[in-house]
Amino acid sequence: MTRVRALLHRLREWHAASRSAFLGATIIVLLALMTATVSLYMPYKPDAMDFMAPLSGPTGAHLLGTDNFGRDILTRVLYGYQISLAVALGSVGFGLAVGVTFGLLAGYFGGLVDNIIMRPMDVLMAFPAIVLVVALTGFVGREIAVMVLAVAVVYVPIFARVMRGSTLEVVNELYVEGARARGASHLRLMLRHILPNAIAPVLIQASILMGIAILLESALSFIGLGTQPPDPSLGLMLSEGRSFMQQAPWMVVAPGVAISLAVLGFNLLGNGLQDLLNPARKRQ
Amino acid sequence: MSLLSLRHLTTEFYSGGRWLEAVSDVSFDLLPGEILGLVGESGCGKSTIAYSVMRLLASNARISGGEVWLGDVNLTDASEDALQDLRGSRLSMIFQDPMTALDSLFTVGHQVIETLQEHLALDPPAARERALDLLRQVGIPAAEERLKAYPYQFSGGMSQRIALAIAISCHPQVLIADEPTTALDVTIQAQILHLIRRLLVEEQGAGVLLITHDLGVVAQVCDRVAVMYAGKIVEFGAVDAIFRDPLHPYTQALLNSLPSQGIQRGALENIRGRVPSLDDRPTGCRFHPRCPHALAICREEAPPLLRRDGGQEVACVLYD
Amino acid sequence: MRLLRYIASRLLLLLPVLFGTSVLIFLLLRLIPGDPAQVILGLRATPERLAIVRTELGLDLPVHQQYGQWLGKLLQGDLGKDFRSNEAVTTLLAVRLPVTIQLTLMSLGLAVLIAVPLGIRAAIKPGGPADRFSMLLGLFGISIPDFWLGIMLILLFALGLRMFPSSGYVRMDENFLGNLRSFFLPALTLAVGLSAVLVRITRSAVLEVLELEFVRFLRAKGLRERLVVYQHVLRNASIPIVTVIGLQFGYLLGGAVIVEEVFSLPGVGRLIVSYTLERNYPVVQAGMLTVAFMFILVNLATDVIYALINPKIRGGGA
Repeated sequence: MTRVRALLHRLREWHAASRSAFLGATIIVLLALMTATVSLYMPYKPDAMDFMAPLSGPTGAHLLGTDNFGRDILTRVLYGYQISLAVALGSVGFGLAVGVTFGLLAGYFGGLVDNIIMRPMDVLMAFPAIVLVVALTGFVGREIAVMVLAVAVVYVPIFARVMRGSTLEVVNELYVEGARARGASHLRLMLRHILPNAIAPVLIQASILMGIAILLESALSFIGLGTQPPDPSLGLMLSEGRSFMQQAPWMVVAPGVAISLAVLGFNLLGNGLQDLLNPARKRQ
Repeated sequence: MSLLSLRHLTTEFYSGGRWLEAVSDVSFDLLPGEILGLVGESGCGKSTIAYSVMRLLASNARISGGEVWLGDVNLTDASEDALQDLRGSRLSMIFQDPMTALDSLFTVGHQVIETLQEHLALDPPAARERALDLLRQVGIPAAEERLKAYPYQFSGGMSQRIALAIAISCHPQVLIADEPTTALDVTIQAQILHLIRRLLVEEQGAGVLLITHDLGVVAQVCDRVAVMYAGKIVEFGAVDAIFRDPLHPYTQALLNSLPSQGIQRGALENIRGRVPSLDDRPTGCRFHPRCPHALAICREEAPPLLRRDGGQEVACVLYD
Repeated sequence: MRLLRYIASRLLLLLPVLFGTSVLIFLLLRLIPGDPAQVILGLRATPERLAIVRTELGLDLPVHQQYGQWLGKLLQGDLGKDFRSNEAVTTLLAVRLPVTIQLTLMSLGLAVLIAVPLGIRAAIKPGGPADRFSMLLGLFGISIPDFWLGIMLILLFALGLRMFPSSGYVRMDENFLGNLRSFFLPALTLAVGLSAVLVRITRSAVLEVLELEFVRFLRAKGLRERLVVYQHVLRNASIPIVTVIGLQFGYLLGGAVIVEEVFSLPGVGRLIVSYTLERNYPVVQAGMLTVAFMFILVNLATDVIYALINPKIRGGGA
């Protein structure tokens, strides 16, 4: 009981600190829970076809209607989130790991190391993300793993740049100088003293990029370069629904709203975190 | 007949959830052909008076009482359109830092001419002629070329001359000069002050409200002076009378802090304490915590500004 | 004169980026798995035929020599040939490029028309209706997928209200009004996301400029508020706005890939997608290079606009 009360108290504190971050986190946590447990509460399988009820509008049995094969749209949307979140987590995780390493090294050592790492990053940044991802997935293969890697390739320079910037901001701080004077190794300085103090802006960026990864996954699947049928990807559902959008608008409305909601969650979280980190911006 | 008349002007700032008085019950008249100095330490409300008169207060400030008359126009209840007509024509202002007062992306000529066209019905060639004339009046060499130059190509003194040219371009009756020479070298200070006196007072019979923290500047050009402390006028009168025989303990302290009454920044090192902040104003006479002559009554009663025999006005119980 | 020298120096700085981009594109498409000869001849091709085609395409040479050849031809304006049709890629691009350019420019124009006045109004009256609307636009505009927005716009304005065509491309020289109509919905689709970003930056830039001393002086000299805001404040706020437009142009080009697909517009984006699907290297390479080149050109344009706005950069004045 006291534990529950303590938890409620914590939640209220977070809510007061940033309503935007709280709302965003709530949306994300709810969606994640719903998609993780979908098989427990939805009576349908995502690819189970009901030939008696194709293109059925929203009814009690099918809350969001069915598609042209009579598959339940709500079920498919909820399963679709698994792919969205998997791609988002995978690409951000991978991009974060590589990008943060690059940015940390570039910012810490500076000079030649900085140039060797960051100049190629600049070139990579000069590319519209989607074009790069289209080329990579198109030529390598249309699998989730490829999609994750392709999006990660786009993210590495972004994370590297942010991490490099915030490393430069703390690298000359007193506590770093102090540790250096006590004879700490480069590795120890970077991992123990700089990384924890410089990571916050990177995490804010990560939240925003999670949302963008969801957009990219759905866009790729939409143009046929991402998730392949019959897997329930939100983008794929949209592209399938296009042929029926006049008879069955719910086929295109539901997945679109679903994508927007998830992306909105990550954007709210990212904006809220930014306000928390930098209160002057919020007042503006 | 006064040009500008302040009647019990009170201005407040919103801060920390409540309204705080920055200017309290200030009244004075600006007469034609005079330079009236408004002097006090920073934070005493001098600039707030200027912005109240111009009706250009920041969004967190408001005039909560009193009236400001420009001739027969009540500025405190004038419409925004009427105010816009008056500003720059009958009522002008120049600022402390001339380097930031001009828009860096437009030529100086544009910024002079747009003012002329706003207030006077001049066709472009006539406006240009008048702009040239103005630049020459304020002493800009090679005015023809300088019209096409951008603010970053001017020194601080030259920029203040441009600002002055803009301010006088439509023959104002009143000029408010808010610390116009504080950011400038001493020699240039004197030139600018001289220019203000010549162009506005001597040639046009206008009135100038000169806001400064520098008693040296007051001694140099002002006819009369109002000494402010913590949002109130504590002493008011002719400059020579006040410099000869300062009555208020605060004025005395200000003058004592001048080394041999030369031109120096008036720091009050010989008075203990500091100017109280807006949310921490003492009761009674606002100067009493720092006053060497404070009596018990000073803590309770705020003395009104009263005229003395010599014509000087002072707000202090010592002279009751 | 000074402006020209400034542009020249910017161009010189862009050369290494352009070179790096071409290397990146080349390596990207060469190093990833897949054999173009196999793609051309099909799975049942004999090893001998494959070898012949590889030699024809220059694929038997080391990668750096391949790049050298490609670059050499590129500099002469030869972008190679379509694997299948044997058509020159330049011919293909000549048809496709105007579509993408018109689409991106129109959406840029629409975004500026929506976001800049809205951002200004939001800054003038914080907390007012314009401010609240711009907050919503700023949040939802970047959360809604553009291709879905496109579908919704088709559903509403093309299929429902029948105000605009749902897809297809009308050439400008054939029917000017029809051309504008065919581009309106796709341009609007792309413009929403961009205006979400633009409205935020406009608002904060204008807020910042409004605090500056010169604005007070402009008001003190009695300049009418309309001129204060739309001439002086806007011009001063335009530097961060132009910066963001330059950076976001990449977003527009990327969005064009998808939006061209949704509205069946035959632009470079759709070209890249469809030729990627059939692994047509020369076409995809050229398409990507074109997109990168456009992005770099826009950045150059941004630098030139800076100089036009700010006399200090171009060294202007008497």
